[in-house]
Amino acid sequence: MKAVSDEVIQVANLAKEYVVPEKPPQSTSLGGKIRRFFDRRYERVRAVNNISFSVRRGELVGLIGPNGAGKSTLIKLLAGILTPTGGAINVLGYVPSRDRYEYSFNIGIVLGQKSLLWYNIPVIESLKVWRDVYEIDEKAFKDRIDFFSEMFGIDELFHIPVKKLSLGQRMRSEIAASLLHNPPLLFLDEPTIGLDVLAKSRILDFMERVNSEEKTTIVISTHNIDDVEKLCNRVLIMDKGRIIFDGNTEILRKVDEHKMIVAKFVKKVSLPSSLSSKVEAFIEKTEYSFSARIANEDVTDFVSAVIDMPYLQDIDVRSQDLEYIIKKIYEEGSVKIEE
Amino acid sequence: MRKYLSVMRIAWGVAREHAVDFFGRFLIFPISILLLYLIWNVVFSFTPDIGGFSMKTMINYYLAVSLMILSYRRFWAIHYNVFSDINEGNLSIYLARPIDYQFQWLARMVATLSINVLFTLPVLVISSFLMQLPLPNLMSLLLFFISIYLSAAVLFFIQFCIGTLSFWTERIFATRDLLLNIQSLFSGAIVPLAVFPSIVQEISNYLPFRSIYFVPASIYAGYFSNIEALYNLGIQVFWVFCLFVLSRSFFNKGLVKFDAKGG
Amino acid sequence: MSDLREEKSARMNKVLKHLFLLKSFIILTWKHQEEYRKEFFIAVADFCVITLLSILFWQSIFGYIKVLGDWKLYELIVLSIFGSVSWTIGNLFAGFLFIPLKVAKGDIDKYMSRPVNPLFALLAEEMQLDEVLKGIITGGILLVATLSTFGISVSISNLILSLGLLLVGSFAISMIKGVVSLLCFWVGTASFLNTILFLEDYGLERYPVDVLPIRVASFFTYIIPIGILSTFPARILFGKESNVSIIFLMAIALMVFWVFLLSQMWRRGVKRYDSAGG
Repeated sequence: MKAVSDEVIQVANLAKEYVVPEKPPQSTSLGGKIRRFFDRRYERVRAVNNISFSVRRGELVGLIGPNGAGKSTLIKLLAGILTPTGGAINVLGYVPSRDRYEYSFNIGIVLGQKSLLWYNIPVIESLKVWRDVYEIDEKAFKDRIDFFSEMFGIDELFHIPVKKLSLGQRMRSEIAASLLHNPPLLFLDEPTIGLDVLAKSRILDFMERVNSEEKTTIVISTHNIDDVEKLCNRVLIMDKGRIIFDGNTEILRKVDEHKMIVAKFVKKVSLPSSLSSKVEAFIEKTEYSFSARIANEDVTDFVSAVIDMPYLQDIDVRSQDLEYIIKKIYEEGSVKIEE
Repeated sequence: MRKYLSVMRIAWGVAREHAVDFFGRFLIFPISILLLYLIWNVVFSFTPDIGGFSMKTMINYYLAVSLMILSYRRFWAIHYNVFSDINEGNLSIYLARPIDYQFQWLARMVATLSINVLFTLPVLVISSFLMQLPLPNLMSLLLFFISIYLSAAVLFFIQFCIGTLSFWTERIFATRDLLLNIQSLFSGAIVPLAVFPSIVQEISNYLPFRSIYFVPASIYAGYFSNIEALYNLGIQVFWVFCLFVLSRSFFNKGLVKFDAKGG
Repeated sequence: MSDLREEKSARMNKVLKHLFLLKSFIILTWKHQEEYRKEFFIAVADFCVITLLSILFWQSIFGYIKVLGDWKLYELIVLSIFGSVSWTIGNLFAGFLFIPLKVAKGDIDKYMSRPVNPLFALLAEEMQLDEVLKGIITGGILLVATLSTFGISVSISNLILSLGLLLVGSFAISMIKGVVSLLCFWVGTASFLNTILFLEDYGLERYPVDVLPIRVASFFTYIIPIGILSTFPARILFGKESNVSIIFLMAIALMVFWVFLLSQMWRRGVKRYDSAGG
């Protein structure tokens, strides 16, 4: 594959198939267990099924999909952790799984819950080890640390052992660690899991600045659409190992012209008919709460009416509902829009 | 009482699942027994009696000890279970339930031990047959089994005491190691205490560790007459009682200090 | 794209880099274990008690016999000391004990996407250097104490040879543990792996394997090489061994064999990890 000058990632007909032992029927007898040991049956699972796309330098790509869609597998394939069973990947001129050692100098990766930092020691000590792994010289290291301190204020975290950090602080430190060597490309797999709203937005701001200041290409995989909406200009939706949508986040927003309103009450309430007529569909409805799909143009009125209702405890406006979008995409056929 | 039985039943189920794993543990066992047998063979070629043990008695002793070591494996982690329950806040979950913390661990351990002993039995018989060793008579065997449960209880309460130190400090491991090393000196795991110089034997009589390996294994090997065996069982009961009281008082004192942090 | 490639020539040689990384990981593990580290004196006391067990064992036996084959009491005491020291040296490779768990949790991913050898990193981050030091220092002191108590002197060359063999033996056993731990790629975290990984619990190293029948002695020298941990170093120290160079060559050959097997298993294990989707 010829490298086009400003394309950093090129994926063609990528496939990853793996063998999983079949879940046998429960056997509690010893004979059954021995039998099972010798007669393993395997099935083939296509985690990634014939995917093609490319990413240009400086893009902020969101990869979303339900659990088991293959997002993590795709990220690992791009990072060189897994080897494709079919198709080809070219990232920055390297074949990730083949040129692993050389290639890894040029990428940064944050894998969800698997920590880059050692638990009992101050953050800075972990950073020092990674400095040596990435062969960064002292001066460059110092500059980098200063840059992080100035830009993201994590210098106050440097001397604290990781175990004493909150999840949000830890995540920021992890991302800093993964950017220590100033890679042109950064992969993140579920970086916002378990974070509260404030911590989440700090992380997303962090990445936005990295992208704008350093032109770092970022690919972030998440099952939370709101993250992608805020951060990314391009989104890939995966389902069952395939990409069913590849386009601008704006366009995605247009696929679904609704918002989802989630409201909770402290006492039993019933929705006045003037409001319930505006509801296109109830996703969930109990005596104390509801999740309703409302057309975009009706949202403001609906929300102010709900806020006026007595006994309101909490109200949340969610912009996208992944399952609904995926269903819509399937109904309208695969949507792929070139930019 | 019923709830402890159901805890035991659950532990029984878990252990059954791991039956295959347990057999794997016996991989090294035949090798170590073989080595011991051959070494003692050489030693006994220079003298017929060591500390009142003949060759056959000695090998029987080691057979019993090795199998006890394998069966008690799970017990060595109890102090760590207590340590992590205290430090990671899981203890709070137990305290909020109408079940005694110590007893539920004891119940689980009794279940685990019973299964291990069950699997140990055929190995004992086969090994004795292969090495042409005399099996103990029925009475000795019965006393041996009772003794095993008592020694496991002694081990359990010692481990529990070490674990409760976590109420006061996180650094329990130094104490643990020191205690366990002293224990290995006086427990009879390395060699029957009767072989040691008399000073060592004297000291061991005042410590509970003797009850862990030396007493049961000597009963099995036939070193003790039935009267002596009963007497030593009595000593085991005494230590079980003392350590039980000690562990509970540690626990209750520690509970006052417990601030349910962590988690 | 070409500017990235040019940087390649600025990179360190891989082997040199990993040597350099050893230092970084030594600093890391030293700081990381601060919390669980015992005070040095307690650690020393630990080691002494363990070794004392073996010493007491032999002392008691020698209350009933005068010699064991061609072994005298002080020689067996030294053998016990060598045995204990060799296991503590093995703590350099304590990382093998944790590999099954790490593979199951997917912890190897974080090293797979970085410019460092994953197996090296998994081991280096768990080195228990303080245990090693404790063993060497205390063992050394006990050795000197024993020799002076019994009034024995040994030649320097024998001392160096015996310690060298002990080192090789330690490494060989660690490599065997490594191979066993890598079975986790095929059998998961089955607990029978632990039986072999915790071989030192059985105390096999305090017995002289050369008094055993020839075939058994060979088994314990070449198959499960505990003989190289204590028996043969002790024989060399006291000048009882005439075939020193042969023993050394066999020990090194053994070590090379297990290192080779280890690297093969790692490669195949990672491939299997890959084909199982990680």
